[in-house]
Amino acid sequence: MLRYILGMIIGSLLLTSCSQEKVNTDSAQDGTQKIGVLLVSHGSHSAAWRKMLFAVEDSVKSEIMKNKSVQDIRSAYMEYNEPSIATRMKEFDEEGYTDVVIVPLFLTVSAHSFDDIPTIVGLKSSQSEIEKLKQERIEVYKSKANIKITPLLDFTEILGKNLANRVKQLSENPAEEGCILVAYGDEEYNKEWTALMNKMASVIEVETGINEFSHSWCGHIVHYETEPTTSAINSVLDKKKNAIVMPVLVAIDEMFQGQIIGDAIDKTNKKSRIKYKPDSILPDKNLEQWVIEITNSYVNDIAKK
Amino acid sequence: MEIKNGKYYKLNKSLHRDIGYLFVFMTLIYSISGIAINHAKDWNPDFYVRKENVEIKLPKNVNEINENLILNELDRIGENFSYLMYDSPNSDKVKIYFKDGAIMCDLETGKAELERVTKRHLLFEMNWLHRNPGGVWTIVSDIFAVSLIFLSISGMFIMKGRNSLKRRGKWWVGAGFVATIFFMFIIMI
Repeated sequence: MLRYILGMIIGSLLLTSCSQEKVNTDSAQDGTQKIGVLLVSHGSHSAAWRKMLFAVEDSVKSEIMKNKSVQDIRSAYMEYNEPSIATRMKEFDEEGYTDVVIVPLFLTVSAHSFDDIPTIVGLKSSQSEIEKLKQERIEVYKSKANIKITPLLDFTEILGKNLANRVKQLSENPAEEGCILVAYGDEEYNKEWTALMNKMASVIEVETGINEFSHSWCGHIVHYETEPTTSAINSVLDKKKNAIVMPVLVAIDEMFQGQIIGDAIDKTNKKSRIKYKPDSILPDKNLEQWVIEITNSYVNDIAKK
Repeated sequence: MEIKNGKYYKLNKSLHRDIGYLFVFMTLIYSISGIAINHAKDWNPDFYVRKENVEIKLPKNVNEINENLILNELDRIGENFSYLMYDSPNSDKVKIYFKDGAIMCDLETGKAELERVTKRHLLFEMNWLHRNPGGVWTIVSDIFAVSLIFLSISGMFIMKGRNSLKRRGKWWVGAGFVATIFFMFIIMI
């Protein structure tokens, strides 16, 4: 029996040592421009989160496809799930696409948007970045197509309007309320994320009259702990009668809106003074409209050439 | 059915011994990488990340920056960089990429931070296996896990006499069980 087990182990090792060749099939090139659009989101273990991001494609597809220069629009996840960016770019290459417009559905600048996505598609080639992606099991694929990456969601004023509207829905007496913005955060771009939170606070103040704000991070930067959010909520409740907790998150993920933020609120032991709806930026018609407009803008620029 | 104590005892002992030998290396890999990954909050188990402040003099206006300026600054610092490219995430910052790291320059403050990233060779590969790279390794690691289950159960029946499971052994097994349940209880509340 032991010889059988040994044989199985050795056999497995031999199989794993045979790597699959990843071949870039030559696409049929007859000089015709073929433009594709790829909506890219982060990816999540939450099925609800993934469904919300793919719903963006469903909402914008028919409008974007009215642009005769666009042959197809698809979605991809940066990590955790398939279809990955590499999978989609390989599809585009195999189908002969000459140009791909990537629309990252990311809040603001981060290591993901600035380094990971460009590295995954071959626009940046730092070996250390490639190794980091490999360690996270994110495939890197240098596409044959020309790639353009559109700006991020904070490029527009839509984010501020979205947050202000959601705060208004919960607000009853702005003079007695403070607001806590809870976002994922980013260690390398902490300054930019803090600036974004301050900017959003200013917009919310103008729109709602609430004048007491705090913000906290809920992501990797704080090791997904609840304490920073609990602390931010308490700092507002020290000054105001009630607090509105606002997730500045693209979609709903049970781990974030449910566990991290929800548990953070529980730990204040002041739930009666806190208003919280575990919602997200999506769905947002204005945001979908922006995706359509920015995509058309980039596609039309490419089509002119 | 009459239990043939001697035969099954010897079989158990042989299997425990040989399966134990077979998986010594894998047990070490999973244990060492387990310790490394267990402390991921305190260190990066996969990469050496060296950060230091450096002096890179660039114009405050990002539009005035070009590759020649950057290359001159890298020469001036005197470090051996395999320069790749530069890019700007916004009007305040410039990131200079080289083969094994990058320098992030804050144009507003004039500060620049160099980050060099190199793999922790061997540990990186062990962590990679521990986290399951997928494919056939899923089957291999499942076989290993089943073998560990066997080793833990079979190990209880190896010793005889004073150190057997019926006598001294039951206290150690009981203590391990109680401690584990206690921690599980603590986590749940």
